[in-house]
Amino acid sequence: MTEKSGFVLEGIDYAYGPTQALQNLDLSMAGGKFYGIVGPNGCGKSTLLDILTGCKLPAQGTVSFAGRSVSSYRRRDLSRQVALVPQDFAIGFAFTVQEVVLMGRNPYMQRFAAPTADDMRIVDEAMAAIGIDHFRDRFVNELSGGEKQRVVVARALAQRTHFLLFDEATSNLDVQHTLQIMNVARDLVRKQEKTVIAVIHNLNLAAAFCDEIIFMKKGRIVKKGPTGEILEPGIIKNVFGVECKVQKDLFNDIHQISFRYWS
Amino acid sequence: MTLRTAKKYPLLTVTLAAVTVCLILASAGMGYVGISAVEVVRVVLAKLTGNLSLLEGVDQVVPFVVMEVRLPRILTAALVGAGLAMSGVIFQGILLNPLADPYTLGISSGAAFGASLALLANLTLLGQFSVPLFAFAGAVLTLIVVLYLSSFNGQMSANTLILSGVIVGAILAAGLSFLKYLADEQVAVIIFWLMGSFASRTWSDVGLVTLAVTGGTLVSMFYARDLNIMSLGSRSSDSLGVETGRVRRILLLTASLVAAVCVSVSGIIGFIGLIVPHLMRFLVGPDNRKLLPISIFAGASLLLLADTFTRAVLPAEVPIGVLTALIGGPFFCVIFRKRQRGLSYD
Repeated sequence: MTEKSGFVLEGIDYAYGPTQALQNLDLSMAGGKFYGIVGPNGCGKSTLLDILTGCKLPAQGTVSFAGRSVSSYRRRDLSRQVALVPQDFAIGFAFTVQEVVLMGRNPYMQRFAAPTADDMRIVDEAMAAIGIDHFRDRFVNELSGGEKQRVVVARALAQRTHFLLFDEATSNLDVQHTLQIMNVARDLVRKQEKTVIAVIHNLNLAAAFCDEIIFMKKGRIVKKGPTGEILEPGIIKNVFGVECKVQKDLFNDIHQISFRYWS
Repeated sequence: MTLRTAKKYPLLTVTLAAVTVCLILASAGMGYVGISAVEVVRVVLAKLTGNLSLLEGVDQVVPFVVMEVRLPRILTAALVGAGLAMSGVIFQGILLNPLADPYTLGISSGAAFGASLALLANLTLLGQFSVPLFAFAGAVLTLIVVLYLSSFNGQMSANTLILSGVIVGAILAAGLSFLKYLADEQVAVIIFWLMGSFASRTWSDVGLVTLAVTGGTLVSMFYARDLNIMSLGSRSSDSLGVETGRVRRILLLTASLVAAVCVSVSGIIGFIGLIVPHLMRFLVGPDNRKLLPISIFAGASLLLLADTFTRAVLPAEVPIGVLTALIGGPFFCVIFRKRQRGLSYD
């Protein structure tokens, strides 16, 4: 994967009415890595993902993917290369789990065509990877929040894209399912050279899984770099306003953060 | 609680289509002059093929009653039922709300206002088409205003659409009351139009609704899978390769135009667009590729059944809009209670 295969953002501005969500933001993300985007609530993380998927168009600046402006792609073409696991998933109607995961194959299916055997195999694999195959026939509107979230991750896997964007994809999950999904994502990066760009609230999770961390605050990138080099108390204090220590975790042999809980 | 008969779906659709055809034949025979189904078929075939020998032994008045009085009314009723049910499916799909119907966006209020204006001003410059045309114009203008109100930064959400529809609908309802107040002695004409009726429909009405329903069916079936995916929300559907904004605008326009045409020829007929998609979703599930065809036939059958009931069974004709509301209203209440108790089957 080269730099050209990834995202390059230059001078991005985006506002919701009078509220500036992204300000003069520059960022480049190459393929083949696990990126974590961290920052306080409302700092523009989700908006940044929407800019990457072309779901929102920046007021100023340029976004390119694989050397081409994102807005010049047909949605269908872009959705074969970039998948999104959104934070909010409205599922109003009683589709089955399998039907929803199959919707991940939409970018590849002809308008009136039935799913091929290949499509069904990919759907089965995606459900198995996330461990939801045992409730494939249940209705999505009857699932718990965590179950729904796993269905949406499986749907994104079924898209078979090189880039996966996770918008707090594990926020509703217990620790077992969180680790399961993070490990599936990590394997995609390690074994298949795919790229994961994940908005993560849990800093220790980000420290454990991400190759690079991007710190955001008030619509800007504060700092970006390899996890081992960038993770230190000063920047966490700057971005989140909390005291912490970064220490080697003996169990996993990685850097983890301990927070000062009482002031 | 969902009763899915996915495998029986083709059979179910064919059955409903056959039921619609049988109802049309049976209904054409019912009324003041009783006519057998065989005679109806012979009259229609004679007309279509020009083979007048088929009419031997048939009373002279029968061809006129069937072709000029009953069939235009019957076909208009069936087609309007189909159109209202189809636009119901589309509105529920786009607004992500199983309780939405063609009137949620204020389309009906707009049409009612337009029609009342034409009736009040006693507009005759366009002949018999004055009232339908004004109703249609009212519906389309309302849609434009609602779309304008609900879009922001080139995007619109289901919630802002519903809210805009409710606001515009409320303003139009007040305007309508004002028109009724101004109408003085003519108020009866307005009220009767609003109650809905298929009496004295003509072949030109049939032609107009056929055009709208056929066009609507083609467009909505073309985008049916996109509509399925759009039920996951716009961020998801965008990232799954659906041009959500464009498809949503096309489908809203299609459903509104079909509803507007239906309202303009029949007056206000509520609840068909709400109940039929709901019932059919219960039978075949939420996949719009199956839901659209089956709802179209079910809507046609249901409205035709109601119209035949009020025309030929009841001693005096009850306005069709009143009848559907009297049946549909309690049904709506049942749905609402079921949802409240978590027994929803949508």
